[in-house]
Amino acid sequence: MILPPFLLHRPTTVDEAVDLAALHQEEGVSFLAGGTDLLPNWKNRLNNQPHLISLQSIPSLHDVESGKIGALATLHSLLGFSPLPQGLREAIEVVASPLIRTTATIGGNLLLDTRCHFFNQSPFWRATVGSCLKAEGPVCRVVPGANSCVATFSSDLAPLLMAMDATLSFVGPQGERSLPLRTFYQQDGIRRMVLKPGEILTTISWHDDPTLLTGYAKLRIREAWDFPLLGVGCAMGLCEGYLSNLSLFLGAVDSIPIEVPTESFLGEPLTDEAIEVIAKSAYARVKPMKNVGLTPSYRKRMVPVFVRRLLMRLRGDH
Amino acid sequence: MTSKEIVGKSTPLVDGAEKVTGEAVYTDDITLPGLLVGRILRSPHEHAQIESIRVVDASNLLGVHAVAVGADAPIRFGVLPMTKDETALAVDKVVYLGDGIAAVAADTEAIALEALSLIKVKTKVLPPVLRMDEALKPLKDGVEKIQPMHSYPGSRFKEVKQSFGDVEEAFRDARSSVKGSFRFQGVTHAPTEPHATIAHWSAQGRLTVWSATQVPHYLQRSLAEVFELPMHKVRVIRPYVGGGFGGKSDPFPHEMVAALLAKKSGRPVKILFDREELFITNHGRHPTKTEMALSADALGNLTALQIDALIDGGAWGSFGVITSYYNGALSMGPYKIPSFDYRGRRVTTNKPPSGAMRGHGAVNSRYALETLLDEIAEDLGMDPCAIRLQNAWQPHSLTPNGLRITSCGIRECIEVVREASGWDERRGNLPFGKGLGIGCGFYISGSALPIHWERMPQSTVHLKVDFDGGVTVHSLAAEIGQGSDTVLAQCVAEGLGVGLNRIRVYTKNSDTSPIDLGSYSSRVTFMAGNAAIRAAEKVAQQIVAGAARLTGQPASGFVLEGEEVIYAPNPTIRLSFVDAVREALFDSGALHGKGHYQAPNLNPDLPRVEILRGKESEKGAVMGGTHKGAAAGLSPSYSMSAYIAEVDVDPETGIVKVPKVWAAHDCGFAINPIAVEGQIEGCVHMGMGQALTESFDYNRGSGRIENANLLDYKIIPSTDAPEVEVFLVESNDPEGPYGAKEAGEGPLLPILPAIGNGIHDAVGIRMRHLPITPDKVLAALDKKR
Ligand SMILES: Cc1cc2nc3c(=O)[nH]c(=O)nc-3n(C[C@H](O)[C@H](O)[C@H](O)COP(=O)(O)OP(=O)(O)OC[C@H]3O[C@@H](n4cnc5c(N)ncnc54)[C@H](O)[C@@H]3O)c2cc1C
Ligand code: SF4
Repeated sequence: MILPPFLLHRPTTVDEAVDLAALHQEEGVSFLAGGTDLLPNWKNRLNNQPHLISLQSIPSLHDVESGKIGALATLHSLLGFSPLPQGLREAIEVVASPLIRTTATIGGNLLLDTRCHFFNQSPFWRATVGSCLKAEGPVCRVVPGANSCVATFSSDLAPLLMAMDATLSFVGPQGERSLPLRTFYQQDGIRRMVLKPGEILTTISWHDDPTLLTGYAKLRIREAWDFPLLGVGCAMGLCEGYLSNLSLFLGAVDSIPIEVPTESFLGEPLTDEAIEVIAKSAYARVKPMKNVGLTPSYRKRMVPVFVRRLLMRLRGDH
Repeated sequence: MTSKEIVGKSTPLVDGAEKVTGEAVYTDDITLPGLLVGRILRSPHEHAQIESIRVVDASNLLGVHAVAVGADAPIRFGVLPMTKDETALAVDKVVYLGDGIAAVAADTEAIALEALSLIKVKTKVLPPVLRMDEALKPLKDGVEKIQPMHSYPGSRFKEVKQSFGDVEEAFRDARSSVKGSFRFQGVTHAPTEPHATIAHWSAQGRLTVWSATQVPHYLQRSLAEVFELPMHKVRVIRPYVGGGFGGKSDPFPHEMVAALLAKKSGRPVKILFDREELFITNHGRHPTKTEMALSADALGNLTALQIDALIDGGAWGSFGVITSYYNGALSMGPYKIPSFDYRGRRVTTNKPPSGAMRGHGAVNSRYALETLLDEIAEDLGMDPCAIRLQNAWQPHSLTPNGLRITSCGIRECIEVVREASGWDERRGNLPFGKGLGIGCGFYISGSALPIHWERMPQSTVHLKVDFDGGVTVHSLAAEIGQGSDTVLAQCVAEGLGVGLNRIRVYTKNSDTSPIDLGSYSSRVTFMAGNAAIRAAEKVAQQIVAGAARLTGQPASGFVLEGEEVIYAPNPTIRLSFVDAVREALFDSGALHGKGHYQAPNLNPDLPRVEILRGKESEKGAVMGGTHKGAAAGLSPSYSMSAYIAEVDVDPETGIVKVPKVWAAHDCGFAINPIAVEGQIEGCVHMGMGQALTESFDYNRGSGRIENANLLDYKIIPSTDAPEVEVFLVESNDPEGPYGAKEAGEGPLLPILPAIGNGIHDAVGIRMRHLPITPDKVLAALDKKR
């Protein structure tokens, strides 16, 4: 497989990158971070563009400080950073493989494209079945008749960082802005998020709270390489056995992470019964599609199991 | 020779340093002046008539040097002489999604790909046959036979039957009988190196093909046939090969295509597959439905085995005739089973062709048999190890289907893993979710009867020793990573009493190496190893003659040992290896010796060809019975193995993990123990993939593989690989080289049922469909609850 032809730009400042993007917007531009998601897709001729703007040479995007991380920080480098919330460490450690994590960035992970058996295929393969909505085709092959894409949200870091209520900062043609990650994704397998054309993700930040318990649980077939078939990110505040904070997000069961409501449990102890109710409500909220590994019914069945086990672990059970 | 100095010692592979330093040259590393890139246009349909192919726009593209279509090389070929059904490119119809239609040679890959997009193919889509049950039925009106040359009714490719003893009576009289329907998804080899071939026609009209192949000789034959050349006009060079596992043991269409494009363009052409093409062209293990029944008497003696195997061959024959027999013939042990009934049916479907894969033909039936054996043991209240020991083959015995068993360490294998795993105390006593399971197996050390029914040697090895003191070994035995070059070097070094650093092994070039049939059916150590030993003996005689002449002692008293030639009756009389060599050759030139191997003639009354064809012909080596298909499964020797796997099943998620495997394998004698251990560990790993995660998934019932990449096709990574404790059992085979037998394929068989039986011990369910994915485990647990 060879990459399609493109022009590579290597700006050294964010402003320069934003200008370049605006300049070539008409023709088509993409930003390159680690490239571990973008380049395999381009090899498959999926949404490749004539201009590729590498963000690698912009020093400020690599900065890492406590609670504020440059979008270009590699997952591997973050593992060596302290303090790193435990849940974020757990999520990073289950992304892809150690080798890929030396290249993969945190920003790229949050902006990862959605995945589907009908989409992540070679041009030859797609031609044999006819393309789909997400690749300039007329219909969705997973839900015939649907007029939107239901490809699976596959970032491991997003559910956890949403549970931690992380904030994203961007620089774009209209200047800077910040957004809570929780409002960033949108229910559409193609557009996926509210990123504006030409906008660069610069930092990911969160309120550093050492008392916050965080954890991530992932369902996958193999202990390396595999994208999540279910991801559960959780942040929990426990004050003398009572819940002061609980947020729970499910990844890889929809086109965006799904929030499990937990407000009614705040101020209450996290009893087995409470965990069971939360697990059941998580189960009720998801409808996985038949477009990634294992059957949808199995993946759905695993939701309460993984939620329950994670909550018990964070509560301190063994 | 008194004691062994070289063989039996763990020896780093002689080509290891080249590989780890990157010095080793693989096919894709080779570049030649004027080399072009070849690419193949593949069919988007499972089954279609080709009405027209318009190539003019592709031909006219700047940078394109040749365009080829099926009509340019229409001669059919195939690895088995009786089922030649492949062509370089589709001649008038395509038979699976991915079948080659046309090909181009261009200056760059980008130009080649652009040229492919300019080829206009008009096709009439034909109804495909995709399911095995469909293939068994008479063809529906208007449905065209996929391969008109396959003569069986419907879309059947081959039907075989074998029967020994009275099976019906045995089942009637049995104290216990069990049966089951088993299903196996297709799996594939997925070697690290994809297919790669370079072809070049010299000015004198000789064809040279460099290819990543396990079978240089069959490739040479097929190229000669397709291009209508005498065989000696074709030279095959096998550069370093990055793994095969049976996936490179056929002569392939792309190899013909490279030669065709090179011929048309007058330039050398390279074809390198991308990963998807490797999956699409497959030749992996057959998807299989196995119905099996097993019976035993009240004492736990097995009395009958009945097998009905239905296997999906995909679009081509490949090794399919042999696979059809092996599903039965290689199930009749390593246990005494007096009566046996087998029906094997292989169907042709519009799917990627199946072929030979590590453990060829034996793996799926083995899973079924070892599972049923556990069930019978349970029914009779016997221990699974005990029932296996009680029924185990004896050394030097004959099976009902005529397999001659010589050395046989199956008992030792079972006993050693039973002891090491703490089986007697632990099995059945572990907490719910944890279990131990056993599986056994046996496998051929090379097929006694060659693919081509002729009297030629199966292996020949040439040696040359000159007064530089170096020893050169020539053979066409294909080193594909399994360590065969090292085995040859060890056998020769041992025979000449010298260190390995004197030995240089040349096995890559069909012009200079004497023919060996290739690396398949686990034959190389046994056959080429024996040939190497004989070649060394020939040269040793010449060296001894030199020593005798120089010392004035009788030749019969000399031994070669430790780089010296020693007069045994008076060891103070000794000279260095090099001095003896110099004396031996000064008046005659470099020393030469050759050895060959031909499977033994055990039954000289029966000419071998009679067994195969049912008619009299040339005389040759023979063994086995005279029933139809008696040749299938015959080997000069068989390896034995027994594994115990420790299995963890999470009853809530259905996820199965295998933390530990105790693996005992009787390889006769481990010429290179470290390489044998490596083969066993690799087999555990590969078999575990088929057991738990690997599967060819077809998209929505079509012939389109959904997971034709290494992310979605789930090979087990090192993170999930179990700890493997290897036990080498050395039964010292009377005919093996230094007593050795195979260790390349047999060690794969036991791991699958060991895991399956371990799951049963852990959570009480019998898994009959592979791979055992977590959703299937939960469904089985639900049913049990
Ligand atoms: C074999 C394999 C296995 C994988 N397994 C997993 C897994 O288990 N879990 C998982 O979460 N991911 C997995 N991935 C996906 C990927 O490796 C990671 O998500 C990685 O973190 C992506 O980061 P990147 O820097 O490589 O992104 P890139 O590929 O560089 O970019 C991804 C997307 O984000 C855009 N982008 C990147 N940075 C910016 C920025 N700063 N501003 C604006 N746009 C930007 C790019 O244009 C592109 O569209 C896997 C990938 C492979 C190849
Ligand atoms: S969900 Fe539908 S539209 Fe989206 S990628 Fe899959 S097939 Fe295409």
